[in-house]
Amino acid sequence: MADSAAATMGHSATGGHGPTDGTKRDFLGLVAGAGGAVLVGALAWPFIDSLNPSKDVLALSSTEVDLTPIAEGSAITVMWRGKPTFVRHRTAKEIAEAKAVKPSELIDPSAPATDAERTKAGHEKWLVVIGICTHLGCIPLGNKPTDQRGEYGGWFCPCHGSQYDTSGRVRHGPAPANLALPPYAFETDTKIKIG
Amino acid sequence: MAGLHASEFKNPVINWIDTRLPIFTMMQKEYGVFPTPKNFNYFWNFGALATVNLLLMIATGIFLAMNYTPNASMAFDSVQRIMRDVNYGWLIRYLHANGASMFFIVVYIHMFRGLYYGSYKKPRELLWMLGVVILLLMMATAFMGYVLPWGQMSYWGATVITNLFSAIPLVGDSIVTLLWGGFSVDNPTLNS
Repeated sequence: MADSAAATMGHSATGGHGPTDGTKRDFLGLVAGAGGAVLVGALAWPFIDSLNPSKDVLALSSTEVDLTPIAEGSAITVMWRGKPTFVRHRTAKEIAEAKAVKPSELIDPSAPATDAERTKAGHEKWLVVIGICTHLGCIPLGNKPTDQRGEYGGWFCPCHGSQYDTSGRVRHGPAPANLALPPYAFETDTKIKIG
Repeated sequence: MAGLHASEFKNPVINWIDTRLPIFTMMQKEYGVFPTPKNFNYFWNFGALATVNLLLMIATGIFLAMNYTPNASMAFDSVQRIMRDVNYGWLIRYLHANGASMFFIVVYIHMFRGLYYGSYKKPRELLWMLGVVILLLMMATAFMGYVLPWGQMSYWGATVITNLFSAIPLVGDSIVTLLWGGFSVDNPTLNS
């Protein structure tokens, strides 16, 4: 068996033409092996795909948020795909602070790093970020104006002291990356759909 | 390295494994060079087909178990979710349900081959007896799988089959109570 398998690997590319190299048996063996591999692959895909999010999970994968009750200077937490998501109504001062920062001053200057990239044009007073510290996954403080917000006025993570600015960018501490941005769109001026 | 098994395989990876764990030598001995009569016919395929079928049942069963909830109030709904929401869940469940029927067809042909060609004769009596035990285990396992969806057919199937044991004199009713884990087919029955 091992010998015929080795012969198959070596000779069968030429099929059954030559008198010495490759026989009909080698060719049939290769065809059967290739067909079997394709069949196993085709059969494996439904099993792997069954582990992906199912239709009932996908049906709940977007969240609509009414912005009217969010007071200026504070943020709310909504759950989106099981993750706490901060929707923050920024004050004019916070927007100005966020815009004044150059990417070169940041710990994580990779895009989206400027405030224009992290908010929607025309809706600069709204910031939507996923409220999970990029260090080890704690939920930072700072939604209420009375919370500890750190030196940069955004969020402060109580676990290891990471600090985020008013655009959700990391400015201090062990966290390596800016707060992640969920995909979202404004349906009206006072309503967004996340996801 | 005295005492090491000398592998005859050329491929260095296979040789390395085979020297330490001679599974390739064993497979070659049993399925490669073992002498077999030349008058075998296609009926001799059904043992290998039963093996393929068993592997299919194990694979589909494991993936179904990932989405199944073994509780009397949730089992039926979890099966509906497998059929409607889980990606390819319908395919995996149908493979499992029809694969069980196919398994019995394949095994019955396998048994017919054994009876017709005398595969149970000396010195293969123990082989046949073990096959009978495996058949009984198969039927018990298939019955349990039939109960899992917890629909009407499952419930009444479980009721009828467990009540068979009530025919045993003196202790029959006690055994049925034990099987049910209560006084009717209910959650304890499903959980075990």
